[in-house]
Amino acid sequence: MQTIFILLFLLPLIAAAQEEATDPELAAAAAADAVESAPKNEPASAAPSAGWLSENPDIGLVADGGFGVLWNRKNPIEQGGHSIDKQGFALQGLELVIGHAVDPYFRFDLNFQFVGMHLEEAYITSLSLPWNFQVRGGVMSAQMGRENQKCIHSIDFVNYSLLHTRFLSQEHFSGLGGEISWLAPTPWYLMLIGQILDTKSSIGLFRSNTFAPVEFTGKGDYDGLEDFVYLARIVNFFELATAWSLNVGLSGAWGQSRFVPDNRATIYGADILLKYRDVENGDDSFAWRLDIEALLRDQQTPGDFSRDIGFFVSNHFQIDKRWSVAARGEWNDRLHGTADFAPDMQVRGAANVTFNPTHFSKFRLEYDITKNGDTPPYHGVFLQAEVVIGAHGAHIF
Amino acid sequence: MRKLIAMLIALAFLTPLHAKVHVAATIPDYAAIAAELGGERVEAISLIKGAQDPHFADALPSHVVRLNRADLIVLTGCGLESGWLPPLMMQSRNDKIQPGSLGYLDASTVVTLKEIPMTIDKSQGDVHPGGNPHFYLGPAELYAVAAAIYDRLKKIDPEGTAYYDGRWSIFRATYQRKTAEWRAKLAPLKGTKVVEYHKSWLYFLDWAGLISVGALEPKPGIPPSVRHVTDLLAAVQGKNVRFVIQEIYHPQKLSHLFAEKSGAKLLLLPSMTGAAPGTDTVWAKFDYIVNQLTEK
Repeated sequence: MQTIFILLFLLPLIAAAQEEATDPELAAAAAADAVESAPKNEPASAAPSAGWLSENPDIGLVADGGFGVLWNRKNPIEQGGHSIDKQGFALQGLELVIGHAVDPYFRFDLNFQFVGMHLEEAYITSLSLPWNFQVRGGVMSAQMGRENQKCIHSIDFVNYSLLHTRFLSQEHFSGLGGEISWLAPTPWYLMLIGQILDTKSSIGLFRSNTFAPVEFTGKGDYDGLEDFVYLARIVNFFELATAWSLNVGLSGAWGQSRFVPDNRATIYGADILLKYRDVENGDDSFAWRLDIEALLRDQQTPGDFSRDIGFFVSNHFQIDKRWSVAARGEWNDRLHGTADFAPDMQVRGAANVTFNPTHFSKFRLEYDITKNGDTPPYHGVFLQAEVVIGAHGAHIF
Repeated sequence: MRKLIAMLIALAFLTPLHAKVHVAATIPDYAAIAAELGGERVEAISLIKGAQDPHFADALPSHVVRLNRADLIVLTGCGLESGWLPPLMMQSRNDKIQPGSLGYLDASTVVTLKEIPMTIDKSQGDVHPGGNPHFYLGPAELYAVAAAIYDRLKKIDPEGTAYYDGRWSIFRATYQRKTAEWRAKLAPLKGTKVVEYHKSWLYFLDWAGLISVGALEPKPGIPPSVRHVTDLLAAVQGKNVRFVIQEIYHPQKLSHLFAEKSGAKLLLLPSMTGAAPGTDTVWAKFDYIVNQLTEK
């Protein structure tokens, strides 16, 4: 294991060293190229026009908020600080996004959340490692399914799924750590990802609803490598036909149980995305997307273990550039054991309509029906608004 | 399992042995030009289709694979692809095509851009900070991009210099012949007034001598509203607007209505190669546009 850490640390240095170790002949050729860098065959009128470029990083601000009305709410599900899960107004997020290349070898990205004043992500990414490797280091979301990688403004519903809240975190399942990924040289997209997250809660960067912080052992510091959280993910993407694409992911996470010191907890996940978008026959704004995510969790409890399972299925129809509708069904249950904070069964159905005046603003009206444990179902209607200013790059497909 | 891993690792080391120059273009026009200039020494692919809106393409993971294997990326720049290209570039793990590298060609740096905004203000719509990025609709601008691609191919694959020189001569001769032909056909239309759907035809209209008197979009990237279209209809009355032109990927309902009420002819034109049947080369694309405009 120590070898892996050393390799993770050394890979960027190896890449930089490779760059430096250019042979003299190549260096001379590069110098010659630099002298005649201007294309000789450009028409006289051609002149660089990118005076608007600057060295400033890309900076964006995303604000999400809304209003909720709930009925028959006897046993509500608390979904955390970034949800509209209470009656009245809610500011879900006010997120500052900054990103830029550091140099030819690294890029730096930061997401700071003003609601709750916390760092969501801040990491560097390598840009030029050999053999299709890439490493990231810093505070980052855990590689567990697709939804955990998404900001609140890039999900199709007012709130994250119940699956997310119960198994992962009321924020993002995230922490300070490192990641290595490898793009396999296959004809299709095949990505293998390994991640390790620090679990010290004292610095406020580890967020998990399944794994215990290292302080839980009572010692307040690491005994060994078993105190970290480890994740692995494999992602396949296929273009089935011009209009159809399929993304399939499998994830696993291993760490300490939050019920018994020095005991274990695991999460296994599977996610499928099927998308239709005809890009060859006229108006290409219509799209249909089917998202399915499922998680299975085992946690050791005093003298027993607890096993939970859950999934959601969501359908999203982009009707045109401005209007879309979506529906989601969710179900969580406990298959074994009793020791957990959540009741055995949670079920929710949601449907919404979204209007995007432009790509930079959004209004959403959503109806939810939720059943939490044995209490009768309750209903909610939510109106959500969002604005984006400045630069904010594309999210994962 | 061990065999599979060994095979994948072996493949990883074999990848750089590909003999051809792999060109990835964001739009099909650049891919078509690269294929024409590169012939058998080049394999060129476009990340999006000709009938697709380049502002709003999906950042497909399969594009990461294409970019990973590319020796040259040709992009429009000016922010046209900023909604989907940057994460693909970052994930490509290919330092040959990162900004500043020989394999990175931002086409907007080799053309003279038009409509460069004095201030960047999104209240004016989806304004591109560098200028109007639809220069792939201007024959002269596309020629400048072709010259830059030719230059890069020679630098990336110096052994093929003579080969590329030969193909460039053919390309240049074709350009001279075709532009003379298009200009002759379009000459009677000089000064003709048109209404655009999106302000993407500027470079072509300037080149052809046609005049845009308005756009169905009230501001760039803002879908047409009934109110704006009504106002525009009133504004163009009596101005003898002959054509309403728009890309294939925009909705057509209001355009049809506007054309009908204004007495103009609605033309759905391929803004990029491959957007209409038989337009797989840049020559065929402009042939199609010119023929549609001059058809009796």
